[in-house]
Amino acid sequence: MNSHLLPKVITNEDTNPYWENILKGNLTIQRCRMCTEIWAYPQNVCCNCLSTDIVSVPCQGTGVIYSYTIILRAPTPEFSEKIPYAIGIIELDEGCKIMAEIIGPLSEIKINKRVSVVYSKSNDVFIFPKFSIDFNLEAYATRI
Amino acid sequence: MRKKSRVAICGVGETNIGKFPGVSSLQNHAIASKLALEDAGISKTDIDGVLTVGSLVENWPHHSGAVSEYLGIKPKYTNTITQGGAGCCTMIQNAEMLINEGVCETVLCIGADNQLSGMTRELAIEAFAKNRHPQFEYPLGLSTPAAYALIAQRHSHEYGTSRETLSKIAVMSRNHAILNPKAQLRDPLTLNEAINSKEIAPPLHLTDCCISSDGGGAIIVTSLERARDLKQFPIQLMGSGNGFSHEHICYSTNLLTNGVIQSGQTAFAQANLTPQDIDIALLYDCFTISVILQLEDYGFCEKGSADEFISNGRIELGGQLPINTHGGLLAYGNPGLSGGIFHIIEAVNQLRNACNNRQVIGAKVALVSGIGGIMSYASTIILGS
Repeated sequence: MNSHLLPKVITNEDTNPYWENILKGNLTIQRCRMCTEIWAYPQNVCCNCLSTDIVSVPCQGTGVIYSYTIILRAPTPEFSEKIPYAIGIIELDEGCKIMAEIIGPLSEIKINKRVSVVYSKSNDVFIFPKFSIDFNLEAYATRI
Repeated sequence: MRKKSRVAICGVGETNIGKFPGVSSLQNHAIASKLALEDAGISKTDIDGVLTVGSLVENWPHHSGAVSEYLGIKPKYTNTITQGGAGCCTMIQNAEMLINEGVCETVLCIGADNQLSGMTRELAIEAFAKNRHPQFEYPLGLSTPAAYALIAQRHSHEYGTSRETLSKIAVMSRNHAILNPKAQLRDPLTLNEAINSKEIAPPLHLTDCCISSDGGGAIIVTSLERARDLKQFPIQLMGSGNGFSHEHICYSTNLLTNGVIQSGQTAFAQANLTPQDIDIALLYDCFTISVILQLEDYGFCEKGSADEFISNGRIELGGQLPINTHGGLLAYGNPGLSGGIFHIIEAVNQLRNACNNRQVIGAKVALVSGIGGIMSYASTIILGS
């Protein structure tokens, strides 16, 4: 797959530390120290109480598939060599949800199946966190 | 509790629907507007408010201004509603707010584009994909159908919604489009063909996805008093409401809870009506699953029971609650952000008893909806004759 063709991600002040952590293989979730709300995507203000006392905490990287689909029709030409691939909403064991690519034999991907995080280079800049169902990862290494 | 609405639709106009190379987005706005002015029997100097929903093809930074300039209108108020597919219904709601507050007397609401010839179906799909979150959705390769598929898959998991359920919506839309000489897709579609059409993002297939068109529509809203003195029988705005849940579907805490409930409750309360009072519903159908969700969330049936509700022809012409009698975004036409304008115009034509062989006999009250983003914005209007 021509990974260099995939879209670049433009980060900002809210998300820079999140992506830097992912480059180190650490998926984080966000927790508000004022109200204890937790959520997946980084922002410097709590979406519950509007406090700015936010901390990134390590995520176990495990959860279950809440929903998924298989992309058979590429949204842009950049993804045409990648199809078919699975995207799902993962309900993390910490309780919040994250959208991610799901790795594994496509026919085995089902709602409620357990998944765990894997890091794979998806373009020149970022290592996207993906979630893998329990299968022989080595056999699929070229697909990640 | 909102004040009683005192406005009415006094004129509607629609371009032809299909593929018309050489006609710009702004020209489509102008053609529809001229027809609406003629329908209302008023002149453009009577217009003192102009609302639009934008264009995907022509990227005007201040869209309603570009449209007003092209039409040679200098309104007291002009603005563009940026709620995606919910925008058309919200234009009517905003017109009511402007008229009830005395800001404007007569508001022109326009939704038009040349999406099919101006950017091709492929470029339109790409443009909508780039509306997804730039860091957490788009780089994953999430297409717009895939985003709706995530909702459909979860709905299927919780309530057993099947390919057959979704396909029934596609077939109903096509059957209605076949009766409409203006509709873009008029080839017969069987349930089996729909169930087995090309997979796009399971459980959504090709026949679950809206089409792409050139064209547009315009609607003129004025005070009920003024509308009574004009050419057409006034179609009253009885209630309207908006609802919002998330900008990006990756932030949704529950894929099946969205703004439709809030939007509907607000509109029904203002109109002092219930779902049982609705004679015809024009439901925003960017994908078949959105119609299923709305049937449940407006309270036409219980959550999870849409499959049973839509069987036995209940939502077809002649049924208890005919839906999308023009053919909807799935078969009639869809110039992108503005496709919802046709749902409103169809409701007006039904309430004027002007729909010929697809007329819903005795239709007095219509509900029209708009959905923007990925079930992000929900807008409802209730119209009565």
